[in-house]
Amino acid sequence: MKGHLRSVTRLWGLALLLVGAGLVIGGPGATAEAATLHVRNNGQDSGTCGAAASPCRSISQAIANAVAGDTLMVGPGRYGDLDGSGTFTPATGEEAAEVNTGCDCMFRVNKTLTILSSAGAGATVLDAGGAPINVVRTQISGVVFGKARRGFTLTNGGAEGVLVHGSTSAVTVAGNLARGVQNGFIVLGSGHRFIGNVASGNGGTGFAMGGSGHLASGNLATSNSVDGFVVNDGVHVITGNMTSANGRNGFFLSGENQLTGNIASANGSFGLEVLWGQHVLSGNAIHGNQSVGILLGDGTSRISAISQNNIFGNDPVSNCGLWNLSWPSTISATKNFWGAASGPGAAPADDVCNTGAGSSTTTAPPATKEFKGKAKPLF
Amino acid sequence: MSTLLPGRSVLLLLAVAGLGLGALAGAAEAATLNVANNGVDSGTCGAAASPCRSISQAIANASAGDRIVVGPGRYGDLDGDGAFTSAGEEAPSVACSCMIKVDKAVTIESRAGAGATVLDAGGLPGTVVGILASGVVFGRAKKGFTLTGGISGLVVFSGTSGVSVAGNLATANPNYGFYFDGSGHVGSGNAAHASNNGFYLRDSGHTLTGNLASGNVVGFAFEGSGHHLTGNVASANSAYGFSFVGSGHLLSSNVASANDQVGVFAQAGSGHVFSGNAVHGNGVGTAWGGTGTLSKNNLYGNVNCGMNNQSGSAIDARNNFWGAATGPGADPADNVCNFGAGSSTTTAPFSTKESPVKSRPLF
Repeated sequence: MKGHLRSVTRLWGLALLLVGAGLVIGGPGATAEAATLHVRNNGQDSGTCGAAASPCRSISQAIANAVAGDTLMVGPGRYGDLDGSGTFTPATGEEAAEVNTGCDCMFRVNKTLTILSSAGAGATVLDAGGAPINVVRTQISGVVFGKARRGFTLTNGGAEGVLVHGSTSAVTVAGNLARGVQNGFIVLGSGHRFIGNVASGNGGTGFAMGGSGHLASGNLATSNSVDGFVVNDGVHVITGNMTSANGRNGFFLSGENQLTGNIASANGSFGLEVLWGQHVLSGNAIHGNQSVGILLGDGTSRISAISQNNIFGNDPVSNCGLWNLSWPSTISATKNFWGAASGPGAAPADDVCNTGAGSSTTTAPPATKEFKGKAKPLF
Repeated sequence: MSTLLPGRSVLLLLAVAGLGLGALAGAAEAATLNVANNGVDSGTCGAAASPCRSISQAIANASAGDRIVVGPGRYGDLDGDGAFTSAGEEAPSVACSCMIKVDKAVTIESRAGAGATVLDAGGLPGTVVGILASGVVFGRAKKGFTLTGGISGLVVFSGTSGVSVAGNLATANPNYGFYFDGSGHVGSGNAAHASNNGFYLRDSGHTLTGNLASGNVVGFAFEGSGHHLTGNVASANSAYGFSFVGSGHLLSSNVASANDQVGVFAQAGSGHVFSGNAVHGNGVGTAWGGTGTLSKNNLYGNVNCGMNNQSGSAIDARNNFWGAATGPGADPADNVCNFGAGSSTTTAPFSTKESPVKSRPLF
């Protein structure tokens, strides 16, 4: 922990000087130089581990040894239940999990840290050993957990891959893969950023967010058993994500949100279901979903605009690209491309279906050609 | 199919002029055929203004050398009735027991990437994509496909060579994610989840680069000879990360981590070269029933032995880093374990520090 020790030494040297000078020492931790603590599969946990030459074995221990502002750099390998016993024994380098108590998580991030892997998500596995817990729970603002090509695989937990607690703000979660947990990522609180993560093959939902003001960009939710994205409350910005081949909906919305430049394809039910609320739906591509492309529920009368989307190839039975159940109201869905230059209609175009007294949808003028998609594939 | 017309028009003109077509057919201009979820299948579909609905129809309409570009959405058994008979559905082939048969040397890629372009076999008792021709290009970086719902994701058949498979995601296919028979194929930047074997290689001389196998029973399995695996990652597989028999395989700059039983299992054979890899957090790091050389690898953090030599032979494992500057031994280093008569392992000199591993993460 060269950097860490150096900074701590420097700090206490300064503190001693100040004490010697008769000055009051207010909060030494607040001015410490940020350190990098290392965690590796050949590390050994102790109250002083973390230097490059003496890495910690567990992320939990490194968090305990770190101070706010530090960076944890985690090497490739496995972290968690190392011997597959289904229990966690910190004395052997396993994470200090709290099962059926405390945070119900494999480790909690309770300091404002940056936690990165050195070899990326595929090579760096946080394994909760099948315990009914969240793999990672962040419960303080400003945490950075992963970045592009520097994230983690989160797996084998009975709850969430990452849970961002509702009391926090400005947490960044990026470059991670959640697979084989219940829900991939659950985000509460305000102003968090989720970028370039993958949720695949989870038992519930890929990404779920409540609270306010989150950004979700460039994520992929695929082959999850229920929904790709569940977006509640608002105002969240959901842009450039892909959600495909999930068991139910690509997106499931309520509240007040902006969805731009996303792709919802080949989901088992709706591409995008709006339960209620006021949303902007623009520049998205909704294709090949087994049920209706976009379902507007009966509480969506205040929806702002549905424009410049590509909506076709959905529901081979009803052929509804958009199903308007809102009432009594008129929904504006002009300037969308429905799969044919002539606008909504019979296949190969998608049609617009209105149900319920007073439901109507304005589609003219339609776009006569496909909009260019803006979602950038992860790989 | 406007992009197809110029080449064919030229051929027609040449035919009218009495020129032999046979000698000139190979010079036809390569065409681009389009496939989209708002397409309609026909014997002439494929132009940008009249895309095909199914990839099978586009292949039927294409000639060798053509390029097929597939829009986002779903392709397969569209109405979910299990029959593949409705308009626009793919045309499964008995010949390859597959949903989409690629029997021409065409390039097939998506417009929006694997996450948005789903080939769903819907439980068909076969493979999602079967490749039966040499020289096929199936996907590329950020232009691939999701392959799901089949017994296997993608199979390249025997007798083929020079096939490229890139940028694809195979998930939830029980047997194989990607299966390469034949020779000299290249797989790069693909990901395989939830199969018995994420990647399986047969025959000879295949190259796998930058792929990820995670959450399978075995990540990468191969037999035959002379396969090169570079910069791949096998993690969180329930049995083995890499498992192989045969001869003369080269593994370099790969990562095997958090596989439950063995990270790298050289089950049999000889002449394998294992260099510059990282093996961490597995049950056993590497196990050797066959023989080869190991050098410049990082082997540590495995639950049992970093290296388990059960080959009955002497194995050269010098210049590896075992997790401590003092070489193989007790934790936090990994140890070397020899089992059976004749098994011995040379580890000195060992590396006193970690070697750089050049694997590049997929995302």
